[in-house]
Amino acid sequence: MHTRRRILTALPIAAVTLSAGMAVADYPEREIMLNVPFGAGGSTDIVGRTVAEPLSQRLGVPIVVENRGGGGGTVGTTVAANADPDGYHLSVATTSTHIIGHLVHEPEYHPVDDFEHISLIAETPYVLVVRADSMFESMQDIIDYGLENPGEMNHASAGVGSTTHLAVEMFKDATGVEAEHIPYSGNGPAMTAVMGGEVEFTFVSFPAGFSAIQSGEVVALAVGTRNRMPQIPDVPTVEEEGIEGYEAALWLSYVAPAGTPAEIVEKLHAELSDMIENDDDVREALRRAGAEPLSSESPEAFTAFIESQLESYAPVVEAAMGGDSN
Amino acid sequence: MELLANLAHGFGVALSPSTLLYCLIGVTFGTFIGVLPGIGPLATIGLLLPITFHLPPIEGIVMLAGIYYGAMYGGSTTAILLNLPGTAASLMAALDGHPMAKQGRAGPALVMTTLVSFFSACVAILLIAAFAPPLARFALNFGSPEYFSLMVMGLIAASVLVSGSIIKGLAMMVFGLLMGMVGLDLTTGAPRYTFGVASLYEGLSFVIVIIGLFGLAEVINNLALGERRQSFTGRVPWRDLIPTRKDLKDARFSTLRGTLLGAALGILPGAGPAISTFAAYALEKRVAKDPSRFGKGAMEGLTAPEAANNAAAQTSFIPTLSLGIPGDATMAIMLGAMLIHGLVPGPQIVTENPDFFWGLIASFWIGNLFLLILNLPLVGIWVKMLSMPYSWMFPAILSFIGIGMYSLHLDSFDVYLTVGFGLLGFLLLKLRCEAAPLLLGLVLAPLLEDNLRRSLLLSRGDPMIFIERPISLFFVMLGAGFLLLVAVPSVLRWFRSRRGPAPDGAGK
Amino acid sequence: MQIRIAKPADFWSGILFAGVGIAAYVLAMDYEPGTARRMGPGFLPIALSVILLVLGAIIVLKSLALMTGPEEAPRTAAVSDAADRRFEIWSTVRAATAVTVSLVFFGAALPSLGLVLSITGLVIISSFADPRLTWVTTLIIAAFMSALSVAVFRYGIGLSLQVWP
Repeated sequence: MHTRRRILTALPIAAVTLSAGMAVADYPEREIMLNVPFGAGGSTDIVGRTVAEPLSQRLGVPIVVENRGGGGGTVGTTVAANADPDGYHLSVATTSTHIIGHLVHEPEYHPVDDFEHISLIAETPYVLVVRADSMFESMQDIIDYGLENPGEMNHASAGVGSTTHLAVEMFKDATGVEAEHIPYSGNGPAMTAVMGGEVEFTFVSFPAGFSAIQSGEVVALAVGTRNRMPQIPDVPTVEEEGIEGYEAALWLSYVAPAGTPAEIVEKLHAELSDMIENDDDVREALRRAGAEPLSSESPEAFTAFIESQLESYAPVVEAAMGGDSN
Repeated sequence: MELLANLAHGFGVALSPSTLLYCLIGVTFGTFIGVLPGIGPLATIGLLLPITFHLPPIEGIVMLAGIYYGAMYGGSTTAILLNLPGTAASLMAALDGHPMAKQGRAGPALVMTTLVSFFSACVAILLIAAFAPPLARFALNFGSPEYFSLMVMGLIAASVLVSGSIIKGLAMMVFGLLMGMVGLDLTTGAPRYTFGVASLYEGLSFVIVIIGLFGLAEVINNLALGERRQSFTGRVPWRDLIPTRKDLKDARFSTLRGTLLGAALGILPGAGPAISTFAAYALEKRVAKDPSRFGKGAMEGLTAPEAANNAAAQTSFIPTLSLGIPGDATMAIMLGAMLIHGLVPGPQIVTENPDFFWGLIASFWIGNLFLLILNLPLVGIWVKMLSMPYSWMFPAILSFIGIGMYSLHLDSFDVYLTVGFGLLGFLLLKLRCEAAPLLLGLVLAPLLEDNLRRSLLLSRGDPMIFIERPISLFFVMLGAGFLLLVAVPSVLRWFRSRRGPAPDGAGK
Repeated sequence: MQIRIAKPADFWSGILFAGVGIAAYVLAMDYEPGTARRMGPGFLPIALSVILLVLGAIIVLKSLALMTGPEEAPRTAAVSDAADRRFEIWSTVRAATAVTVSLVFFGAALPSLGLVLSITGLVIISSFADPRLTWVTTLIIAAFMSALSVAVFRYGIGLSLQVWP
């Protein structure tokens, strides 16, 4: 028993060393592990899996999803950064893990240096919501009321330093509205607080708020993306409502550990971006989950995108985190 | 009548062979994995979730629901047989269930647990079917101040009524709250009581503390007692596995009260289910003619929390299904699974997807029936296992504790921590301090702080918010009432004894 | 007139609570208390440790009895009881040590030695807690538990645990 196991474990190692040169050409020849740094069933997990299934069909090998939650996504991402750069270890990276998580938690990985960035896959916007019988009928109503009654309103977030917190801080910053930030533990409780009337408004991640918006439990006043969401086409964007250049959305992507062969990254990028742009079933599935398909032109463009995001978010994070601990 | 028609429709969906099959698989897996100490419903669902992704929506969700009850039921089995509870809910089952097992009455204890679970689940399912949307709307009235007051009331009730000594119970509860402070403060991110150990940043894991304080402390205690360990190891005739008429009679009202309490509190996400089992136990002890039987194998002490637990497990689906808002981590996974299958929960799910909604409700029922069928024959096997000599059993228990705790985060530190809590638990056992209030404190501490902090933010620092809001005021008065109810007579007694001639009556 | 400890269990648990309260308070002094409106990380720890200290003190006070007369000591402890007590202390220390060492060994060994050897070690070390266990029985239990654990945890529910070194 013991000896046989030894041999079994020895074989793949030998195979890898022998075929290091030709591995790229034959890639992929075995199952691919996909690390999801959030719990099973969360919106990151759903989007990650929605893409994993058709990608595995295209590549002809299974993709095994591993969920490693904790630390706002930084725990699993630390593991991903240290995985073998052989093309068989991929990870889902998001605004939380690579931008906010990096800026707030200062984890042991660097979002640019420690990864090969394959492609964006989707974005999920933040949506400004109020309860169904709210006196606010538009974003402008909230701004007007907030400017007249500074500090009177309460707004929720999915937690201090979360992406929803930043979305709302950016909103307050741009408009000059003063409102008390009440942090909740996640999007669900924040939504309950809006429905129950404990807070006046919040920015909620679209997948988490989708069902309540559809059923009319809450009313969406504006979406944080540049374009309107096809699922709720009547809701204007924050920009349309008057905040120039406002954009609050969470992007999701596939990345690999730094050092993964460039040919493999290219191949994965080609398959992924083609699928995201042209496969209607995938696009449809992503939209059902509340996400909007989004791909990168090239791995380099995606890296540049992350760099620019890090730059633009740094002052926002500083303002939000500093402003809250006064 | 419409309800009946809807349920009939649901059964039509749920009784399809494939749904039945996956329900059975879920319940079976859930039970067997839930029996392993340290692996509770949440971990079990997490482990088996990916399997369900490849199933059609109804089958997938039905299987998950089956795993959920199965694991909960399995957890109670381990709690009763080995005093190794994995959750706050099964802790209460261990309090009187394990003493029953030691007396050789593991059979009746397990059978009654099965029967009570089935009954309370059935009642709660009816409640869901009839009132889910209005109940969910009612739960929205619970804001942060209401949650805080409810938790304070629950903590007081649990420590005052469960424990032998009121003041020691309160002290244990506060000790538990302090232990709940360990880790990164959720709001400010400041580390507290972590001593620089990274493994402690996420706080003390409840499973580690409960397995240490209860399971490991019990193992040490049994071994310390050596030959004199009072345990039942003889042969059990099959007849003795069946509850007696008296058992059934004892359990009648406690089951009913527990069911109602659990069903009501289960609607409140997070704190509700944990508080409900403690509250049910406390209530039974309060109304019992002879409260001293509790903790020594009282049938009411076993059945009431078990009923509350199962009813709460059912009704906690209400906010998930009808508002699309998950009550706890387990429900969040269920919700995510529904979304993966393209089912969007919310008030509209009943009308838009009646097959799914009523099919799920009906499958709850069938799942519980399967549990009953599956577990009654298992009782005999479990009891046989228990009649092994303790010398053979404790190395096995220690092995399970070791693997179970290590596998939580694949971290050896968790095993060492469990040992530490085992020794602390043994000390507390010797000092006759009951661990139950400590554990409730530990579970509720983060929620308590979170809601206190939010309440005070909402009121801009004014504590009056807790008595200005009617629901909150109700819980505050109830908590104060519990304290007075028990404190006044004992304070009077103390004064009287001090004025009396000698204190020898109280001492021993 | 003297004070004696009427209820040792209460007395020592009171001391324990008060001690934990003081320690928790001292540590919490480093944490920002904040204000009622904006509770800092130290707010609740400080409040709770004070409450625990007070409760501990009350328990200690209640466990003491005021003696007015000569000590009516319940010193009826016979010699046989003393021997019994010595045995109890010995078996308690033995049990606590064996359990502690066995699990600490397991935790330290598992990542490198794998499931089988760690479980075997755990079972062997823990067997010292119970003199009734013979070597043969211990080894049988060790073998059985190793096989069962590998089957259930490694292959049954697929935990990523090493089986061999």
